[in-house]
Amino acid sequence: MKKEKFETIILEKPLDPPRLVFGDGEYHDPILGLEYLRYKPYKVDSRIKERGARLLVLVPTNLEKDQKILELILKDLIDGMPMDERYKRYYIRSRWWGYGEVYGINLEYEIEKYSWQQGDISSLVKKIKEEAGIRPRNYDLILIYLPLDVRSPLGGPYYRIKAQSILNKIQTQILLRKNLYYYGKCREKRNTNLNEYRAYGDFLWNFSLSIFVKLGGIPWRLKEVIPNIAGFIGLATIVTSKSTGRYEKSGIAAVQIYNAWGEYVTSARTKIAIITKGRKTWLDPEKIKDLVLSVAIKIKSFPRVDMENNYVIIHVTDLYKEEVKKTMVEAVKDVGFKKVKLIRVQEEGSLRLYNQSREKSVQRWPPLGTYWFLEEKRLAQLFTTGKWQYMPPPREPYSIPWFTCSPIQISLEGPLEEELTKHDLKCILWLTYLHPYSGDLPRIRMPVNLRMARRLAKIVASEDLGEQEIPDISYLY
Amino acid sequence: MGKIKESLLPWLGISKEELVTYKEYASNAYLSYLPDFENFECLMADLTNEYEANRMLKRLRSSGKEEALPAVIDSRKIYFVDELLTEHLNCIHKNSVSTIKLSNTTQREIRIVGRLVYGIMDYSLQKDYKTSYILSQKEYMKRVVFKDDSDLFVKVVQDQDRKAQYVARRGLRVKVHAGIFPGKILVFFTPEGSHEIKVFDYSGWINKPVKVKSIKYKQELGLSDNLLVKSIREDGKVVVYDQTNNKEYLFDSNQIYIPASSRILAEVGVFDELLRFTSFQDMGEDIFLEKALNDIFGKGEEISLKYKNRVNIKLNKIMFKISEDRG
Repeated sequence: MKKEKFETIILEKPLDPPRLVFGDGEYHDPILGLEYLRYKPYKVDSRIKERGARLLVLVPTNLEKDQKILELILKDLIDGMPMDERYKRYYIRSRWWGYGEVYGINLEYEIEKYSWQQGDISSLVKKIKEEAGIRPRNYDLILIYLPLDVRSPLGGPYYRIKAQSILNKIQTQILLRKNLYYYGKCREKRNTNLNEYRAYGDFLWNFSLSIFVKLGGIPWRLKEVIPNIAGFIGLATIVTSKSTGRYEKSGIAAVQIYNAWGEYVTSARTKIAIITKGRKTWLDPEKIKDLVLSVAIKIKSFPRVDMENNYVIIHVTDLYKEEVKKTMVEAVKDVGFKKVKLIRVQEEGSLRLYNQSREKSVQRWPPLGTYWFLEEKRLAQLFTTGKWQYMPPPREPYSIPWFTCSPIQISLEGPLEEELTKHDLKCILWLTYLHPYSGDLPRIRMPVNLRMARRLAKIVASEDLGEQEIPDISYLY
Repeated sequence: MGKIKESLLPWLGISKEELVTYKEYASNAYLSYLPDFENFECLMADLTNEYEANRMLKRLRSSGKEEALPAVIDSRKIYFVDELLTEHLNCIHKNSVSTIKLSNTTQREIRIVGRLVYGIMDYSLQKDYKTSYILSQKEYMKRVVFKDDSDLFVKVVQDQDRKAQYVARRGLRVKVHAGIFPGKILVFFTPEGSHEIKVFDYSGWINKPVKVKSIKYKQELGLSDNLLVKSIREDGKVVVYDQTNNKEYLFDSNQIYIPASSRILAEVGVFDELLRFTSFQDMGEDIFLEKALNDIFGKGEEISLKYKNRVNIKLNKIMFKISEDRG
């Protein structure tokens, strides 16, 4: 190997991930915190803690086999995963101790049947509305088993049910058939095959976290506030299939705002016309201005916001025309903020790095937090996934087997006088740690505000919710 | 060796930086060292009609004229590297052809340099390295190179019942950054996969979603995205039903395709198998990247992208050093 043939670039130290605070301790990894160190979650809804949580489980009629699998999974969710002593002793991270043990909540459920015909969600909507009409509510959450193998496209059952949940202020958790079957099989083999055991344990952790946050819990939060930040806006635009002109389609723009602690504050959305010609997307600047303005006003009302020195950061994924970008920046400035940055975050950066000297593929990827400024002050690649201290030392950091650790691409889109800094990358990395539905945070590429804004846009684009305000329930989606 | 206390470093005569240990990482990024892109030589000519030139260039490319590949039209001028092109374009001011030097340090010329490099790559990757492109219906400009006769790049599943083939392809997506380093271009080869459903007889696909190949044609007809295969006529033409507009249209089977969405592939039972291939679950993306680069460019850290004897872009692989100590 002729070394002189290489170009060599030395990168700075990887960015530090945030410290996370739990109810009675702090750590860098949420699952190690909750599972290995047995910390309590940061906050449990006191009402739920006192009286326990009740779930309504909706299962289609005539699917007895599926119902049985679901009941076994729910039993494990509540009581803990039965596991071989070997696993119980050594295989940390994937051990599941039971809902009450982990979250301090007594979970109960009742099963009801609903009639399911492909694509028809009317009986489910009826159940959701029935439950919404009862005061006090019979149930704290509706768990819906959908016999579908993939999450449906825009306008399909999955997103329409979520839209109806929002409209009726009902918390729902959807379980798809593909996942039920897969994890049902993992459950069967959990004590003879380590991979199946891990997969099933990881599923129970993620499933339980989704339910926990929808019951008003906060599993962890940042230990320290992100400095110099007034708030984060995540803006996502979705094109619906409805054409309203030759190059024009109807669309939805949705925003989510998070404060400097990375805590969800509120969301908003509007209908827009989207014109796509070539690579760039053109949106109606007036509508975008109104939308951004409305959330910037909310950021202004945050306690102790320094409008002179603190930044409002707008994160987007799509490439917009200059006029649209300027509009977003101006909208924030019109509210009185002096500092604003518009940053584009793309899910797939081009760079790949691998350590050839390591034989095991899980050791070949770069550490999480590795970054490279391709273009000083403007364009960077950041590994929000990568090698990670999944196990307590002395185990070495590693990455998830068969998982590609690719960076995200981050670019500053405006205003011209600003620069993309290491701090901006750190904010994005830290925001990936605040996705409330997954314990496997080192596998989440995108910051929570963009991920959730995109999800909200998909939900709103799937069912006409009219112009009414979205009920502001933080973890509903 | 144990850790040295930071306060002792000045006494030992070493700086903090010298203590940092680095690990070396190979990458998929290549940096050019030849030619000098601050003085990149090419031909330029004035155009009599820019619209016509664009149209002709497209036609020449689709008819396989190599000299039309590295050519860029910008502000009533055409930039190219092969003088043969002037013989095919009649909208060039013949006496305006001149040799110029472009620099990748100005915004306008970065764009031209980048597009010329893509054209040179198109030629070199297909001619010298015998690769093909995975053509994406959605992203016209996207280039993913692969070898269509190799198991490393292609997997085919036959479906006799539906008279179709499900094809998974994986390759290397080419991305050129022409304006980051003065005088140099940066090229990434990033692993990427795609799926395709090849239908030989649409009778097995009644009531399944379908798409029209030509976006322009689709826009002209005002079609929505909700199209279904309704029936097949005796002459083989396919009746397509637009669910949104409640209208029917007639297409030749070569004008339409069944989108290889996860939903449809799952319905026909091949999604997991194809996804395993295109998400590199059989070997890992890093291994695929190494194998694919070796397979296409041969072993070595240097790549050469040539256009005949006129241009030879030489690139070196970039190695990265990362300190894995956290701050």
